[in-house]
Amino acid sequence: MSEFKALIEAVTKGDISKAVAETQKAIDAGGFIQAIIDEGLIAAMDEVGDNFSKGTIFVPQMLRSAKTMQECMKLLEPLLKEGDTSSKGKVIIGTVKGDLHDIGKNLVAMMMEGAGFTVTDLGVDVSPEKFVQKAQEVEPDIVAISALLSTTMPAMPQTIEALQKAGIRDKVKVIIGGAPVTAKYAQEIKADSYGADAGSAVTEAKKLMGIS
Amino acid sequence: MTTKTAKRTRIVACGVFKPAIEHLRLANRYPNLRFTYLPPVLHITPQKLEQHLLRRITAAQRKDERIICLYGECIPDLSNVCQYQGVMKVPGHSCYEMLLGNERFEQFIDETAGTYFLEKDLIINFREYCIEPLELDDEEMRDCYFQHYRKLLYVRQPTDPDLISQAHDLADFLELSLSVSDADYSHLEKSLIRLI
Ligand code: B12
Repeated sequence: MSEFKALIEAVTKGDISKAVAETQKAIDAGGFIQAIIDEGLIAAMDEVGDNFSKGTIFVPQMLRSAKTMQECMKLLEPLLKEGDTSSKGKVIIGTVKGDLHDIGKNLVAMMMEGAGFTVTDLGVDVSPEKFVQKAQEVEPDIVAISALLSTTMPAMPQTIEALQKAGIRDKVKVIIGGAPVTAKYAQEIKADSYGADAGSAVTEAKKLMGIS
Repeated sequence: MTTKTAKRTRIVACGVFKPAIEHLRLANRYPNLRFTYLPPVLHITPQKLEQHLLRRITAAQRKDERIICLYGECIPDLSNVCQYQGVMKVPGHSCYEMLLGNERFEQFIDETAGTYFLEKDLIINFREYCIEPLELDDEEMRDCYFQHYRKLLYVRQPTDPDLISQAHDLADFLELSLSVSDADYSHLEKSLIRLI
């Protein structure tokens, strides 16, 4: 049984005060900060993601759990920075042009951050040109692209093409996701990877970076 | 001499299209047509929508009916699902596009991504379809969902009752401006008749 059972339960229920108290308890007990995140918060959000996929919870509960994780991260982040945990890699993430759905993208960004990546969130309605401009500025290892609409999915290959035209396609790995996106589509548009949910987004990002 | 009765055609449609289909009097014009409508509330849970849709398609196939699917791309990859099932799908990504026609719809989405579309059924049932499942009575939640939106666009149909004041109430609730765009049924009629 996980030593973070109470924390996991509080995050899955979206109980902010209990989760914050449990996080503080784990810190005071001298636990490894990254372990509190990985085995507590991320494990909890994986469970939340599973419950969403199974249809046992809906979007608001997911949002509450995400908010709870964010509040816990506020306690953990300063300690992470104090410690010697170097970034697992740089990620820029955004929802494609024409699309304003950002709940899934925000979750992916939060989980990647929790897993140790340095994440720059470009927001929603991000044009291919903006992805390119930010990629040139930030020099990320990974460009993560989200789309929730069938009308905006074509902006994904357009973004990949823009990276290619700017001469930076081979300097970054592209990972895509969003409810209508599939692994097959990722292959078709020559993205490097695809993640079905926030948990697999992290796993895939780690694979792209060659870390397990 | 034997007379062969023409094969029956079934339109499996989202309930939002019922007034349009009745207005176009398709049942009178095409006696071999049959209709199945599914509840629009299924949109918020695409997996459930897919299960219901496939069940109706299978039922029609058992009766050896030709099938026309009158839905947007409301579940992932619906066009391919239809093709795989041997079902004809009316082209279009959403009911808004089918009502407005592709050109006008594209114009609206090119103008601003921050448009949230409304049609009759959504206005009347906004509480059941959105406020309750998304918990929009909670101001923080509302902001989280709609912070990037700029306007509501009510796609008004010829058969709609007067919904302007309800649409204004929604615009106030969501703190967005309201525009109205009239859609006749000419685009929908053309796309349907091509397949019938
Ligand atoms: C909530 C919601 C909204 C909210 C969005 C709030 C917000 N700020 O995001 C509101 C109500 C505002 C809204 C608006 C619209 N919506 Co909407 N919406 C939904 C709904 C119900 C849930 C989406 C969601 O947030 N899911 C929860 C998150 C956690 O899941 P997710 O987004 O899939 O993300 C996960 C994975 O996909 C993955 N992932 C996501 N991004 C990425 C990125 C990477 C890199 C990776 C690896 C993984 C990954 O990980 C995430 C976490 O696990 C869906 C239906 C559904 N149940 O899916 C419709 C849905 C997506 N919406 C739809 C539509 C049509 C619209 C509107 C056009 C409707 C309108 N009347 O105008 C507008 C869009 C306007 C615009 N320009 O964007 C359709 C899309 C259909 C289509 N043709 O493509 C859907 C499918 C509903 C339907 N069945 O018709 N919507």
